[in-house]
Formats: sequence, C-alpha cells, structure tokens
Amino acid sequence: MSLASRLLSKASLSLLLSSIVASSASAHFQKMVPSTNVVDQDTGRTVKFDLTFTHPMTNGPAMEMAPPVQFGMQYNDQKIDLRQSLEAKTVDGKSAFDVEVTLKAPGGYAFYLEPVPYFEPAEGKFIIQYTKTIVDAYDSGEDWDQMVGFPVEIEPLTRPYGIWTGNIFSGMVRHNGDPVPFAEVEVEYANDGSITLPNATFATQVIKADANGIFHYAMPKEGWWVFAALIEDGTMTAPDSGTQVPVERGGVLWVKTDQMN
Amino acid sequence: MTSRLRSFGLFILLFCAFGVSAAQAHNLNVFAISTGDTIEGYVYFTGGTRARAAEIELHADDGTVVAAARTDQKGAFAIRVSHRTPYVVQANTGDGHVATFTLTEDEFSENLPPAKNASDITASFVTDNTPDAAVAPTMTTPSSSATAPIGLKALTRDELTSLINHAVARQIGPLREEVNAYRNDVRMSDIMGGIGVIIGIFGILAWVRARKQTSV
Repeated sequence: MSLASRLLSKASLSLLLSSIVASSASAHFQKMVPSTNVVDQDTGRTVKFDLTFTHPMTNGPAMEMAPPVQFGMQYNDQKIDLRQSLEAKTVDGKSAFDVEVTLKAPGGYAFYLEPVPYFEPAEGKFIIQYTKTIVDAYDSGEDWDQMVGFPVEIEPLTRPYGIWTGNIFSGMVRHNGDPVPFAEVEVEYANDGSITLPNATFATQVIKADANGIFHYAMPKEGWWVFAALIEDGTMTAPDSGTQVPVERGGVLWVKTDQMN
Repeated sequence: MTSRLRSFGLFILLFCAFGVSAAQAHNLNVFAISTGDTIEGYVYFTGGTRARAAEIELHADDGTVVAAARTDQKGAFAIRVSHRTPYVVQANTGDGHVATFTLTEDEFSENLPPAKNASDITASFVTDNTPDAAVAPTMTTPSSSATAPIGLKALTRDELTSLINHAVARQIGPLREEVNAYRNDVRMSDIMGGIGVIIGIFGILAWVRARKQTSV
C-alpha cells in the first residue's frame, strides 16, 4: 500500500467519524425557509418555500418528511390550507417539499406547518415540530406577532423580519396559550456549509426562558435562524416496541437577519 | 478647500438623512392591482393605517400624468384606463411622503389596445365603485366585475377561440420564459459537467501512471 492511499483512507475515516459526531450533536429541525421574508415591488409576489426535515447547522443529513398534517397561511385571522400546492422533492435521498405561494395584497402572513409525528428511535420519543415563519408584504407592518394556535408556540416580542445581524431576538414560549417559565429553547443557524464549527457544542445553542417564559438571543451572523421551544407533553405508542413513549412538542420559529452595510 | 469639503460633507449628511426619513416609521405606501381595465388600490402607512384624501397621480410609461384625484375615506381608489401599457401609481400626502407602485403591461386585459402615445390614454377615477369592493384584500382572484358581462351565446366559435387563446397565452407567457431560462441553465451545467468528467478521467489516468512510476 502506497503512502498516498494510506493517507487517503485515513482522511476518509476521520471525515466519516467527524460527520457522525456532528450529526448526532446537531438537533432535528423542521426547515421552513422562504425565498424572501419581505415581499415588495422588487421581489415580486411569489414566495418559494423549502420544507425539509433536517439538521440546519450541519447542513444535513435530512430525514424523511411525510406530507404534513397542516400547512397553510394565516392572513387577516383567516387560515388558508396550502397542502394542495406542495411539490415533493428529494434532499439527501429523503422526501421533502417545495411550495410556491403568491401574496396578492399588503399584510402580515404567518406560514404554519404541523408535521406527522416523527419517531426518533435513538431518543425513544416522538418529535412534533409545530413550525412557523412570518412574511410581510408591501411594508404593511401588520400582524407580525399573530399566533396560529399551536400547542407549543413562540410569540415573537421582536418583529420577526427586517432584523439586523447582531440584533437580539426576544420571544415568549407558550404552551396551550400560557407562558412556560424556564422553558428550554434550542437555536440553530441554517449553515450552507460556509461555517466551520469549533467543536460539536456549537451546533445547537441552548438557552432557557426566564420566570415569565421570555427568552433572548443575539444572532451573530446574517441568514436564517431557527428557535425551537421544546416541551414534552403526552405519550404515543412507539412503532417498534408498542410501548408508550413521550412526545416532544416543539414550537419552532424561523427568522432572518441581514448584514448592516 | 476645506469649506468646500465641509459643505460637501453636509450635503452628503443631509442626503443621507433624507434617505432615511423616507423609510422611517409612518412610511407611506401605495398598493395597486389591475382587474383588467381598472387599477384598484389603497394608500396606507406602515402598520396599516389608511391615508385618507391622499393625492393620487397615474403616470404613463413616459412619466406623463394621465389622471389625478384623491383617495376616499378608506384610502382607496379605482382608476379605469383605456390602454394597455405600464403604469405607475404615485401617492402623495403632501408632507414629504411620496410612494409609488408599478404595474406592468401584462397585468392588463388583452382587450385593451396597446398605447402608442401617452396622449392617447384616457383614465378616469371610478367613483361609483364602492370602496370596500375596490380594496379587495382577499386571496381570491379579483373578479373582473368592471368589465361588462359578455353573452357567451352571442360569440362566434372563432371569437371564442381567439379569446381563449389570448387568455391562455397571457397566463402561459411568464411560465414559458421561466422554462426557457431553466433550459439554458441546464445546457450550461451539462457543458460544465462534461468538462469536469473529461478532466477527472485524465486526472485518474495521470494518477495511475504516476503511481506506476513511483512503485517501480
């Protein structure tokens, strides 16, 4: 065996190992990232969403995403079901979805998604991530703090669009409408591969809400950030053992920051 | 020299301040949508408050003002136009707040003639339309109630065919452009991929040869 090939195999082994470590340290997130979160005359009326169940900070690997239980848009307190518009696609060999939506009038639009419960054998629990993001059309400035009625949901206290990089994002964790004291919130960044993690702990930032269920986080990089308030609530029957296992319900909110220059 | 520099700096500063003030709280906005031959819309401040009695000017492509009036009590307006051409709606509340909204030619009905000269265009503010209906902030496709209902039976087969053709062409036009752009993209990436494969094969050959030479 030549030196070159020995080096090569060593490198590939370490690469494999590091990717395993990284994927286990990063959390699962329901990705819901629109092509723009502010619609104006420059962007045009059409917004395209990427819906993938993945590990944002390590840019994958993706997990299987079934057609969602709910996907729609809330506008002027009216919910509009958009499941018919979903287009299936494949990410890392797993199913995911794209969807295109046209916003025809000024206003605050909340996009919401409830996935099919995902059984995580490694953790022995079900994961349901109730995901939303807010899109503003034509500088309306309205309804950015609207709630869509998820069992676990983050109420933004910072307007969730038009945010500078480095700004603090504040939100309140609500469970069935009530604030959750000291709720745990996980934060990740949608890394396109340009960010190298110093070590595995950087994959997911973990913060806790205060006694009123309010949390704060300063976002150090421009791009898409995701906040997930995680609460175990109820049990479901595990598909492998038939036993009752806990259900982790996540209130997930995607926000975007832009560089100030 | 220094004073000139200073005044230049001041100018820049003033310019910046003006630029910022145009985007601050209580930013004025105008939104408009075409329902075929009528431009409907409303004037509002960021946060949702409507601007009542705001000046509205309809500009043709070359900047000519073809109509002017004020918004109603709900900040709404409706303008019926005679020709198909790009239009710019300009709203002015008179306190330094000016906003514009551009409508492209393809948003207007095929039944309208294209405008050769801005002077040909006639535009009138529609006052008999109820403001509530004019605003239409719903997600449903705005109905073209402004156009008179056509008796389907009165149309000949040819007329109907041409109407359908026009409508389909108008809807498919942007889609076709997108498909073409996508095709061009694919061709480019195919070429790049092909070059990559060639380089790769030669790379492997070179590597094998180099390996043979060193192992001997």
